[in-house]
Amino acid sequence: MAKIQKIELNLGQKIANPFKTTRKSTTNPFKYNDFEGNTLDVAAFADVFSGASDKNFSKLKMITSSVMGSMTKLRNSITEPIVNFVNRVKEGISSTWNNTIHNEGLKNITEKLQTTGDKIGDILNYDIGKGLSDSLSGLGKTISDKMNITGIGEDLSTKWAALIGKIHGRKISSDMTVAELKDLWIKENELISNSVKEAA
Amino acid sequence: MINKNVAEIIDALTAHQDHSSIEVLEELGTNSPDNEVREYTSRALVRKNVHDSLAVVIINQGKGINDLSPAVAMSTINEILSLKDKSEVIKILDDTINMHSDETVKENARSVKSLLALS
Repeated sequence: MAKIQKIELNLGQKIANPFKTTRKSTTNPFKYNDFEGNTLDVAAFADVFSGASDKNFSKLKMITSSVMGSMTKLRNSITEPIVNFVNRVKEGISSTWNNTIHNEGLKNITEKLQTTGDKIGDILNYDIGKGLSDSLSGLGKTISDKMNITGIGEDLSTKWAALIGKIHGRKISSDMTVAELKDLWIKENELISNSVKEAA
Repeated sequence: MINKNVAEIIDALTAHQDHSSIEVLEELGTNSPDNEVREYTSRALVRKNVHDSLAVVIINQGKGINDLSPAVAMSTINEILSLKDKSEVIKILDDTINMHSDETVKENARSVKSLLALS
């Protein structure tokens, strides 16, 4: 009986509803936004990479972010097409060169250098170049005679003579024969037409 | 702008005394598809101031003073006008006016002769 009375007593008590929520009214709207009494643990502010055992990992991350930042900055700094930029640089170089050439003092120097160059060119052209060309032509002929293969030897000597002429930049003048000038003109026309075709 | 090497070749041929230089200038220069090369060659032939070179630019249709390009024709006429010794030019112009079969060539020769008289 005493036990039953005990149960009745317990049932008579008001059992709090565990699912019922009570809304607390407050006058301070920032109450839940301030950190008063809600400070985060110090560990939360610690180095985010401290968990990584390898220190190089964090270093790598820093470098990567730095590079990415630089790239973004570079991309933003490009305000004109690359072709315009190259043209602008080219024009700058061209104008500088023209200024240098038209400068009176430098003009004399360039003229003197040109004269000296011509003299050297003449010496090389008519002495060393010709000598080399002749001796190699002779060598080619001798080889072709010895080996009885005329085609290859002659072809080599002709090509070598042409190469020597090209290297020493033989000056076009009336000293050359009409036939030579005609050949040169034909070759020049071929070069021009080839360059026009390539450009097209 | 005429190619530098081509200009040098034409100058070298102009300075040549060899008669074959005129043939080369006519063959490669006055027949060139490039107006500037034709102009440069025509002037070079006038500067030579010999009968054969002047004949190329005066009596040939489509060459020298008869070129279809006004720039080439005018440039050739200008070079003729600036010659010191005009005796050979006048002789060829007279022959062209009197004997050439093509009326356009004759007319052009007449015009150049008039300009020479005025200059």
